[in-house]
Amino acid sequence: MQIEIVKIRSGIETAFFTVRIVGEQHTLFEKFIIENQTKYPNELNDLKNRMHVIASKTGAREQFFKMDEGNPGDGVCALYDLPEKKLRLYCIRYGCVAVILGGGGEKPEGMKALQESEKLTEENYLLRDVSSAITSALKDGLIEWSSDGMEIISHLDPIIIEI
Amino acid sequence: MPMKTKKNPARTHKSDVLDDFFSVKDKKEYNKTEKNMLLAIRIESAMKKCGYNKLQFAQAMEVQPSMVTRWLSGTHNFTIETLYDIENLLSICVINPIEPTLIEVIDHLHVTVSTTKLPAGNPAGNLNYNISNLTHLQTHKPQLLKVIPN
Repeated sequence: MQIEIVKIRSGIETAFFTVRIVGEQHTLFEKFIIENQTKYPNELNDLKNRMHVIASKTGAREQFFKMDEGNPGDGVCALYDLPEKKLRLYCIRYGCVAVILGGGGEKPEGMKALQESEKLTEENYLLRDVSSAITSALKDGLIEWSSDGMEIISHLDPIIIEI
Repeated sequence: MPMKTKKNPARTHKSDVLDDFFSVKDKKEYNKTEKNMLLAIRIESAMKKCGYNKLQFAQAMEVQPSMVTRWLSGTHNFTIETLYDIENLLSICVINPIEPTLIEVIDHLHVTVSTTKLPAGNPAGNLNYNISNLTHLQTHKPQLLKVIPN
């Protein structure tokens, strides 16, 4: 499977990226929005506001993310929404300056482990694969971070890597 | 000599879905979110300054560590009582019941003071002259307190 890495929003503090599976129209994050906008408009609104604050004011500080949602050290985490809200959005955090947004879905009430939800398991494991692919691409020199950490740079245009 | 391959940043992806998502429609809700997140940062910074890790802070506040995680997430709706307890423990002020004195900002005037010799006569008077020529300030009668020459 191939993925294209794209930037979607950038502020003074943090840049947001997402990925598009080659052959599909929408990116992972767009699919998350489309899948949840009818049933969870308030939750999406809250996530949007938090992203705006992260991008423009605070940076992607660790305290705003539910960490360790993936394999050890792969950066996969979830952006916190309000405690009573029901959406889980998986992302990969690269320090305070860059976040790759993935997909997610409804968090069933009382869920203790993500494996209790087929949808969340699927989205989470996909993002683990994306994180692993990006790490490999960085090691192989296919992509690199800019000096400020807010751009992904490559001789590839568009930036498409294998997962 | 091998040609240097040009490197480009990842392309910026735009779509109606993203444009609609990122547009801020409810400014009140946005402001509330911003304040909650900034408060969380303030508490976290104060915790570190006082030398508390999450577990120690939880023990000092007599709550579960998961509650501290929630406090720092920027999503929590604090009670006044909890904020008072946090203020006490961390010696910070997050609640200010005293109305701050309103300062009317008339205009911003950037004054550059150089170390070259001031003109003879009344330097303060000269500066007053310059200010009074700014007609939009005349109605507000700005006061120059003192000019201290070298």
